[in-house]
Amino acid sequence: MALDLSPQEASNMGTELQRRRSVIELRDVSKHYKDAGAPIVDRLTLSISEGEFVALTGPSGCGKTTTLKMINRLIEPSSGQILINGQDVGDLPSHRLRQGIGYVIQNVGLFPHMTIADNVAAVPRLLGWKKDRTTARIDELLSMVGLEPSKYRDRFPRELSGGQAQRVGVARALAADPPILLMDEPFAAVDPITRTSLQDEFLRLQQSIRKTIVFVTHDMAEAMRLADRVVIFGPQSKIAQVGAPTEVLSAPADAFVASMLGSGRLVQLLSCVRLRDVSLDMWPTIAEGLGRDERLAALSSAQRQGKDRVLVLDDAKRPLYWIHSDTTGDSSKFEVDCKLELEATSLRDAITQIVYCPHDCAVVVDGNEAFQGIINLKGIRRSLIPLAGAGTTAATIGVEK
Amino acid sequence: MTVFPSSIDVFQATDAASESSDFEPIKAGSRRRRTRRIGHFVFRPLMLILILGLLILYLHTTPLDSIDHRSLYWSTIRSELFQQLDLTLISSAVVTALAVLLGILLTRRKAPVANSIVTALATLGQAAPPVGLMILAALVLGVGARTAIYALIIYSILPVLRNTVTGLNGLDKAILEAARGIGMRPIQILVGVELPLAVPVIMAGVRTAIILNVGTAALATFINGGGLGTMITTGIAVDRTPIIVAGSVLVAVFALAMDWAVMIVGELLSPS
Repeated sequence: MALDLSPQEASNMGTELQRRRSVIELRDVSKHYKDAGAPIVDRLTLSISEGEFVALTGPSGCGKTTTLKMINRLIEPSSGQILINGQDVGDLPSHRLRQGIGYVIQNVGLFPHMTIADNVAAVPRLLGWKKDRTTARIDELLSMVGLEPSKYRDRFPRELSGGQAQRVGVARALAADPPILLMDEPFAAVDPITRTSLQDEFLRLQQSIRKTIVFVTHDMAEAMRLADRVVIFGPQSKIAQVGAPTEVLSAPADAFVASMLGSGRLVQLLSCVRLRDVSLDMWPTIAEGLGRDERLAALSSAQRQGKDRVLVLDDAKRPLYWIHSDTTGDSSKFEVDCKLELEATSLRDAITQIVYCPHDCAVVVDGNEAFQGIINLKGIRRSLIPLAGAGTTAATIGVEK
Repeated sequence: MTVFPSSIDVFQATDAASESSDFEPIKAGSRRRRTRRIGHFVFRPLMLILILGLLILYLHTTPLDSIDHRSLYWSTIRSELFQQLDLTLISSAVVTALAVLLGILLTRRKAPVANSIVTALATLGQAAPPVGLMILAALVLGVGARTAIYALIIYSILPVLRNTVTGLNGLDKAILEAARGIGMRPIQILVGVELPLAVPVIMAGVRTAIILNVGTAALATFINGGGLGTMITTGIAVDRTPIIVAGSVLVAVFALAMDWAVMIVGELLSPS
């Protein structure tokens, strides 16, 4: 190792450090087949950082699956370089590489002649784990994916429904606790209801396991729902847009992306944007346990702002109840019937709640139940307009140009 | 003699059909399948014992002379039976090893051309009439049991080869992709996934080969290869109906018994 670095080498060190932070890195990767004219993947450069959930999406034949399979070398790239944790994937024998990467496919591909337990144990066995460690891991994983171990351990794949089989598929991929998970249309083969619940459960699972995930799907809505970042492949295997779902939904890069998103763009945007992403309205509050005069003073000051109610908070700023003036000249309380959590609630959920709420006004609290502000339909509308694109009216959203 | 192979093929066709329908409803299907299996396992030996009983009854009620007796001594029958068994088992074992190995090689990724050539050759081997094959082999290699075994191998390699190739190529591609994707090496996939899953189809081929051999082994007598066929040729030569009947019935019973044994082995080996 040279100790005195030339400027060139020093800058290489800089990129080296940057590279460490990204777990998977594709550099100028191309794939073309001899008999086909155009490349299926054309000079793709993409960096995926640790714990990130990236969805590759686009029309069929756009190269998204090919890209995924090049990461675990089921397909060898024609040119370019793929790095995992800074190491070229070609450095390892391909089976060693794959043992360290979870892989889930659309048709699950469970081994029909093995029990569920043996299917899940496939990778630990390849890695030569001790028997009791493997057994413990099988039970842990089966409960993790929502299958009762004592009930399912000794069953055979043919005894499972499609959804259950894919749960086992996920468990098998996670068996050796790989840091990276590659998923190729994993939820495409099950019915819509099962798909939604699998997606929800998978998101919850990902909250706790925090894997770096590359997820291929042709379903835009699924990509938007699940991923932290979406890569949209366009015609001629070019990347049409890369960005967080909200970015893509609020500002499609071009007509192609807009047409891929379709007319449901605004509704999808509602599902992606969370309350933490929008500005909340403030509302008059008072502490609990104050006397009648203070309550009435607070109410009259609220009325001057055009608000007929005041929210009462406890010491920890937790909302307790509303008060409003009644006919006796005192205040009476009524309960907070619509309370939303800041981090988890999407605008879509918020709208549903508010529509059923008698006051067109939901109280927003953080994870500790502390009051953060209120949101109503007007506020949602106000925060949505800039997101949906400046100058966009409902008529032009999602319409192809 | 040629009646046997074709009737056995019909057996297999029905086996394969019910095998493939076993994927969906679990409980009812497996129960039905089990009763069917038990039927096969128990009915066949009972039937064969009955036929042997009838043969013995026939031989006891028919007046036999000394020539008849000489051919029907238990020691004669026993040694012919063992010769027949040797011819069948050795040729079938070699065929199985050879054809399964060849089938594996032909289903590896870069062998589609070789596949068509080898299959064409194997088809040629089976298309040739077995008597002709025996005599041709004797002309080249001389008479004797060894030559008979070579002829049997050429004659019966096709079903095992074809079924090995079909069994391996017919596997669900998703299973193989998953196996590769989780990091199994090609040899691990072959031994741990492909072969176990292809066993039912391969065993059906082996069964056909054994049935072909057990029938064709009766022709070994023409090139001095021994076997139960000797009884029939002797019976024809000395013009004695009881000997011909006994020889024919024994060849048939032996073939059906072998088929039954192979079926049981196949059931034991196939995935649950």
